[in-house]
Amino acid sequence: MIRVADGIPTAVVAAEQLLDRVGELRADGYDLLVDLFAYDTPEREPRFDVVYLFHRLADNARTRLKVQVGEEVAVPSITRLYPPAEWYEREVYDMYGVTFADHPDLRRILMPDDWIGHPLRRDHPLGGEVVDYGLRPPAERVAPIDFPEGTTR
Amino acid sequence: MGVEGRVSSAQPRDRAGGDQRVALGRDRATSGFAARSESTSPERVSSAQPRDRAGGDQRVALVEQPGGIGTHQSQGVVFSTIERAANWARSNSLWPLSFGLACCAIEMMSMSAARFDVSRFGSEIFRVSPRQADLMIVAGRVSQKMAPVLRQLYDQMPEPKWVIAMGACASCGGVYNNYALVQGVDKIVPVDVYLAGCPPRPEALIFALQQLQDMVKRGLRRTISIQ
Repeated sequence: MIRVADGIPTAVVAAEQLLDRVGELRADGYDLLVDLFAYDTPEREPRFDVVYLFHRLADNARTRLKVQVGEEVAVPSITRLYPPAEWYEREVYDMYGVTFADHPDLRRILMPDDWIGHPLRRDHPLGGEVVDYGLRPPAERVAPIDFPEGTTR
Repeated sequence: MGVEGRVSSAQPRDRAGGDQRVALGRDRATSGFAARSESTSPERVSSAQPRDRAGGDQRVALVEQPGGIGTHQSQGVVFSTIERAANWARSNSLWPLSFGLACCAIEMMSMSAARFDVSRFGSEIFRVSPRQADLMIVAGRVSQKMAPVLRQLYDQMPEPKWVIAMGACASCGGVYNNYALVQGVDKIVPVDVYLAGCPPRPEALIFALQQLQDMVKRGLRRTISIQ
């Protein structure tokens, strides 16, 4: 399925077809991986979209791929075709918990190694501290955040 | 500054006493900062020689005798403790750790550069190694991943050591009230001076430094909040 939003051709592909499609783009002269990220739509099944944005320097053409996966499905890593994808995929794994098959070094990249949970998921608690700024009487003050079991801070 | 004029152990004793006294008076008159910060006026620190009358209670006579040994006049003699003398020396040579985390570090660099020139207050030698530093200026927000690094750097600094939490983020997390940042650096290291601002101007950081110097000089361990 090819759609055009914001002028960039966009294709939603299945996870098992991703490597073939990326290989075609690579052969077609798309020599730059501009971005690789994900977003979370928890009310939808599958909930994650992993988005790839490619660029062809010869004529400034761009194209975009999307893979829709759930938590349990591993997306094939495109590191062999586009080496810079390694850290992008680590970031997606760190923030959303989407795993990548055949990734050379799939570890957390931004959060501490012992962190529990994936912070950019919509159901991850925001964290921080409750601040009243001293404006309310004690009876009306906000209760501390009740963090779910298994999450830190 | 008055520091050189006061620490005078290397000066020959048998010189004419009048010259030295004149030199001392002129020195004190020109250095308003030193004269203001030290209330004990005619203090001259020679080499810290324990005298007989000082005994075992760590009291040391800091003596510079105008007429040489044997005149024992009251002028120019001050009693103090090693602790006070050490605190006075420490307060005027705080060596900060070169440790910038965010935009506050820009102001910190500005503080040490030509316009604001923190070397006027004896604290310009930013050390790259924590083993040579005794002041940690936490300049910026501390992420959860940076927190163990910061704690390790603090542990590697030799005692005595002090911490300035510079700016809102280091003091309480600032606007970043979320999972990613430590909500105040005092959760991992003891903080002596909290400095408000986002970021604080270099003058404000110099003021925080002066507050810390005053604290060190008087041997206090208490927390100061500057708002």
